[in-house]
Amino acid sequence: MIGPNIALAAMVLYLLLLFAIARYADHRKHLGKSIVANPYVYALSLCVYVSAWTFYGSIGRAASTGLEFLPIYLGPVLAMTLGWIVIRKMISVSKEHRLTSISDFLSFRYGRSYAIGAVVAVLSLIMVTPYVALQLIAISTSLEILSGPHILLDFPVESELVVALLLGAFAVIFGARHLDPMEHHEGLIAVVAFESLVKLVAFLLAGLFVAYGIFGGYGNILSQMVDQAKNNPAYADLIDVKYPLWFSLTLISFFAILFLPRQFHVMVVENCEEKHLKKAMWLFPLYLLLINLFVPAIAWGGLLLNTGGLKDAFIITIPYTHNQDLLSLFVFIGGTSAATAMILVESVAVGTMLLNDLELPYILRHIKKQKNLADTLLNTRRLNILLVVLLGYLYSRAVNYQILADIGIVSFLAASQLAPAALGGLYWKRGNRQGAMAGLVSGFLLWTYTALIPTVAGKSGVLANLVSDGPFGIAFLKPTDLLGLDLDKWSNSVFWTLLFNCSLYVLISLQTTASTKELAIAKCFVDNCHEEALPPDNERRVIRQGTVEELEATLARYIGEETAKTQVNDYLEHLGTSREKIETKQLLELWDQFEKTLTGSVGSSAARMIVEDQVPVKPVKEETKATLPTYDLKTGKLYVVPEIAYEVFTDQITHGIEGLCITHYAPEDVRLRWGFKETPIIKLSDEKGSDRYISPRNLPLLFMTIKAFVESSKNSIVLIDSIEQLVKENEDLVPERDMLDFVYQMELLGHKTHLILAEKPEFVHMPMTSSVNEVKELLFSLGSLSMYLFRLFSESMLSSLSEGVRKEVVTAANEAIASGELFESTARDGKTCDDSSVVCEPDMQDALLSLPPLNVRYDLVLTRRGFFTALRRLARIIKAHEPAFDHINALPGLMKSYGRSPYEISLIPGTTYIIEEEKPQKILEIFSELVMHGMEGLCLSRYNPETLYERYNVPEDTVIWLTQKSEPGYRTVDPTNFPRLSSVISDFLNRANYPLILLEGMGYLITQSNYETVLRFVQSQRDEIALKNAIMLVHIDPLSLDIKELHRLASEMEHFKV
Amino acid sequence: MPHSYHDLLGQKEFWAFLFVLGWLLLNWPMLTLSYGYAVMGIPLILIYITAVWLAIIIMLYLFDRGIYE
Repeated sequence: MIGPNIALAAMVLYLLLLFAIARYADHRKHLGKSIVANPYVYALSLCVYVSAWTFYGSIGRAASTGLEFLPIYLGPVLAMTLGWIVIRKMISVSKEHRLTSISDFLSFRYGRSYAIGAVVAVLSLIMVTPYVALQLIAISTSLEILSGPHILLDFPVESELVVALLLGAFAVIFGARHLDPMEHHEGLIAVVAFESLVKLVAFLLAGLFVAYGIFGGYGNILSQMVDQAKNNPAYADLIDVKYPLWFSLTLISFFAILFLPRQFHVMVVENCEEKHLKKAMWLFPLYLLLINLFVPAIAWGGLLLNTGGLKDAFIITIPYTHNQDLLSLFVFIGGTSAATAMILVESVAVGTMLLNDLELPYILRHIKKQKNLADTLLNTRRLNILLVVLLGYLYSRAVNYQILADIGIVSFLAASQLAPAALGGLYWKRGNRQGAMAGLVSGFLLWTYTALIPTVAGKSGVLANLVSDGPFGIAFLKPTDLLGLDLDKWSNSVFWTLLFNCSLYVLISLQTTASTKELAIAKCFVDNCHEEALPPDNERRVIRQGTVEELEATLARYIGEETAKTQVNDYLEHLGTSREKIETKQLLELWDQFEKTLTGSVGSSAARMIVEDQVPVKPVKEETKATLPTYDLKTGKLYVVPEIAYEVFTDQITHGIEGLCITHYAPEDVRLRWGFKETPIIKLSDEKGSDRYISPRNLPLLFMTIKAFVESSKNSIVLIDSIEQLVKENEDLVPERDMLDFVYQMELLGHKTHLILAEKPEFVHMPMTSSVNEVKELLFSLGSLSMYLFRLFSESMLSSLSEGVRKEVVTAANEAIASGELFESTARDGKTCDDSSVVCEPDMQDALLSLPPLNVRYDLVLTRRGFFTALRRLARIIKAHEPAFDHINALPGLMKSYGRSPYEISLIPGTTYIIEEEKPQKILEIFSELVMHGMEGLCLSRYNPETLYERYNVPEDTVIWLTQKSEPGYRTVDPTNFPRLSSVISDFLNRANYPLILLEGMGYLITQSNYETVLRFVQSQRDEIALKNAIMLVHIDPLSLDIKELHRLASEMEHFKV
Repeated sequence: MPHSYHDLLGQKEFWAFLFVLGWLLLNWPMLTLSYGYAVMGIPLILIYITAVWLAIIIMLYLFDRGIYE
């Protein structure tokens, strides 16, 4: 007789032994001499399948229902025949993407779906709770058999509680000692493998004792049973086979070996090398055969011996009642091994799922971004493990042991519901998230109705009535006999759950379309390809490429600083580089590793959240090719490319320029169509949930995003597709001034990058001579932006008038508009708009509503010259009614805002102005300012271009140096060669849209030839300027000429007062 | 030219076939063949299932002994 506390003490000692084994395994791992990384340990770890349900339950089932215990093992044996096809693929895919649980596996396959991950995690918790309860009850029952009810120093402590506390603490210590990015727990696997050996030896010893110690051999027991069966119908059932149930149990056990959380963990996650699977494929079925070898002998031997107590406990009660205390104790340790291993692995697997797929997304949303989460994650995982054990304990208190005999099947059935989505995900590309979710939810709902409720319903109460009579007494809806198919309750559940699950998965997948991202992952899963073929990851990494230090810092928040540093250093070493020397391509590879490490640590959906929310935005380069780009774009220029914008953009980014694509198309489509791998793409859309989308109305954010990109890059290109659509989408929703501001700021930003606008030719008001057209002055070149600008300026001018004067002015201006006197160009249709409500602040609009509007047409298009001409004409109308009005002083703020020089409104096209000053200082400043503000300039000067640039910021390419020397690298004209000078000016006037000419060095010209010749030259140019509607500024030093000569010269021109 | 058993075991189709065959052998109606009989007092169905089980293990063992990719 084993005394009180002995069994418990043996159990504690055994747990301590396991602890020592785990420590040893971890120690060996750190030495680089793993004892786990071999096929035999791997095969033994798969034997975690053999839990207390097998150790005790198989005997109970064999003693109660005969051979029905066998299909539970035949399913896994058959599964091993597909091991090299199915399991190997699961391992390969999971390793490639660092998937660390079945919920991660499904979540990742279906587009990193948080919903699917969360559903599977919750259902796994529900699925394993009764199973854990079974283990606790099995151990505590066997403990009580050996030690009596008071197992702990005669204290009335509940045995389940003691066992739960012990195993809970044990699971926390083993399963969550540290955060491992690969979720490899060598200590845990060493323990599980050791326990597999212990339970096999214990089972075989018990079987041998029963067969050969008590009976006259194995055959003797079976012969006696066959004889009994002939005479006793109750025994006859024990060698009977119910084929539907047999088939159903084989099927669900086939699924269970693949998709039970603990099986997935040991078989897929903890696999060190794929080749280990080969040996496990035959060792595991052999193990199952051996451990089941004596099940009939023990079960039927117990019956023949009329052993009392629970049939499940025959394995321990038979030797115990035959005074084999040591054997009984060893069998108890074997049973404890079976239960402990199951609880350890299951709680770790489900705890990881809960953390990664359910809790972490919440934690990430609610905890400050800079907080270090490594400790939080580790503690949360510990709590999850305890939660699994605690729920198992509570469940064990709520139900009785007889009900628990069916619990294993209920859990297997639940695991089977993952099969359609998981197997479909591996072999069927069209299987998608909606289909998987529909299949999973329907399967689990029906599982609850047909399997779980009948198991826990009891004998009375609402649930019991539901099971016995059906809902509302409708018999054909009885959970255990749906539609009266007359199947046993398990076959009934298997049939209906899998029918609905598979059907909905297939039908809804066929009816819906997966996103491009999900399709890419599906392709990866089905074709078992590598990361390179997976655009979604590339897409994210493009937008968030960081430095090595930034990546390490982000990683450290989740796996701890030391581990992160080790990981990064290891991988840098693997890449053959260092933090200082890392190249862009290597940085991208490091990024891949970073994402995989994160996925391994926190799951795929949480990794996606981290990557999208918390990794800094940096541009990266596409792979540089050794060829030259097809399209020669110049930095600082703006281009309109109507047809081949993406082609031009792709050409540039594949030649080393860092690109940013702003588009109205889906990023995935653009990426697939044009093959961008790394270039960030931002979609102009109101869609939420990602910073890859920016609302078309959020122009400030859009601008800041582009600006940040351009400023962080030395050589960048930005594609915008398109301003036209942006204008249309914002019409009447966004103030016109915001639109103007955005376009003007983009134009300025365009001078620091290559800016490509994908616009339709009809939206662009300039000659489109080729497929790639350089554009200037976006406000006057694109759509109705010039009309917006005129309304803004005109309203500003009118706003300074009193109400009465304004009405008179507007009436007169509208008459001028109607007669075509105000605008140089005419509108294409009769639509007009009210400008009083568009350009003002909202609180001013009411006041302005009563004021008459200018009838400016919606499709009005103004050139820059036409715009200022119209403003000057409007100013004249105003001045006629309000003599004190000064249009130059009315608009300085707006002029500045849109980069217009205040001089521009004063300078009338077609005019030649003379500016008298000793040194040409002011005139050069004006010229420089006007050119910098967009006018096309030509400067004929005595100074050389470099001097002009240094002193007055005059662009060198606008200067023609008046000199008799011909210096290479300079554009020069002989001051005596007036035909050449005329020709240069004429060419420029013909070429430029809004030309401005500065003639400086009159004294020099006169010195080199004579006054009369120069005067004639000025007169002829004056006429040319008038004809071409250009502007010419002529500098003259009043001291260089006598009064008469000065007067003759000045009379040909207008005086410009500076 | 006839293929050796090594070639056979190296093909995925063979394992799919073996899986289906295993299902058929370990389910109705094949199980009925051995039902109700006993050999030396041992129910034939137990011997039959064990034999199929062992056969599968042997096939998998042979697969492990070979080098297949």
